[in-house]
Amino acid sequence: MPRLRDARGTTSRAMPRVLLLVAVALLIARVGTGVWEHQHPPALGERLTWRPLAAAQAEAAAAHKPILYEFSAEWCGPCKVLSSEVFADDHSAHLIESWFVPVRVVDTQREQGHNAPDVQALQDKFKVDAFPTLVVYNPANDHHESVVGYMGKAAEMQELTQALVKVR
Amino acid sequence: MNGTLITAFLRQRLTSPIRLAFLFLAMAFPLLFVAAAPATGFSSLENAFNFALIFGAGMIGQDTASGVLQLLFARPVRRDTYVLSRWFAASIAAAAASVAQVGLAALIMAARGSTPAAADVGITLANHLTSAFGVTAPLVLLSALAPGLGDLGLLLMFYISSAILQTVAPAINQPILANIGQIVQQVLSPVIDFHKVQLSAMAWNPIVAWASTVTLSLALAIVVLNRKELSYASTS
Repeated sequence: MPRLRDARGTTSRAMPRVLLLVAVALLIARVGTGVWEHQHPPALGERLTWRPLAAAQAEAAAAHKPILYEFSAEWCGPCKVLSSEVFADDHSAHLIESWFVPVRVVDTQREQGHNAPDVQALQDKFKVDAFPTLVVYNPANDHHESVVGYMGKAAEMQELTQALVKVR
Repeated sequence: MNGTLITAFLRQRLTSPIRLAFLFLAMAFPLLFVAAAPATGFSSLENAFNFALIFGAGMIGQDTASGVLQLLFARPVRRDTYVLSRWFAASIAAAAASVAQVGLAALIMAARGSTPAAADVGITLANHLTSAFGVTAPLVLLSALAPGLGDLGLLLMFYISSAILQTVAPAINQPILANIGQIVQQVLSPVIDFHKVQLSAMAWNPIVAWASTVTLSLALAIVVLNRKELSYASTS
């Protein structure tokens, strides 16, 4: 069908060439940055030093502190918010470092179809079935308290304070 | 973009009782949660997805179904101008509703003794604005494809399919299916989570992915509408 042209000779059905070019360029950039960031994960702005799972018990015993297990998953949105609002906040991170031995436990069930045995054992022990879950665990008396979900920085810090008192 | 098309679209949306009723519900319910638990911050507000649906659903499809499109294109209006004006108008409306909601939530939190930090307000506003302009882009493409409110049906179908993929993938040990499901959802609701961007030293991919989805959706919507042949025959 012949395209109708107006008085200036332009068609009403002009192809959005510039937009298409920009869209294709952005699509290429999207794939490129996706691959790059997958291979070079950006450094997190968290102020906490997460301890390796295997070393946490010994450090907790030596420092007479409970362990704070953070159960999270790569796909978990609220876990990212928890990270950015609590673990990346200087004041909150300082409090957590002084109260606990922090350990991050990342679930890989969705990505790999299974978890590492030590991760699965901890999830079973503390009956973790949602993310994020924070578990305050005192190895000295085997008491623990769980905080499931993320309800904002103030609420989270309040819950952690109460959990600290309860497990002692 | 065309100012008259934008104004006419906004007037049409803001005089629709059903859309206004949904707008009230989408505005009020999250604010009730904020009032009940101000310490939870802006987490109850999600993003501008609901507002984008309320203002954007059927933005081209309803014109196609009602015959307005035939009348409109009998005038010297370029189809790309029409598509971009529709997208911009729906986005502006969703963004305005979203900004109002964030502002009211901040006031409620302050009144209940949990004044939000300026950074929190800024990040939430940025999330809401990008989702308002983002979600309306694939919606304009779906609306160019389906008449009436068929875009909502298509959106629902894609969401259900991606949810099924993500549920089934772990059971049959095929993580790639879960990834496909995730990508479909990301394409349908392009948002930038500035909490994540703030957390990372450099994370360009979410920003580039958002811009890519928006531009590609708009370009494809224009191509689809350019190829659409409208019947000018009387149906009466």
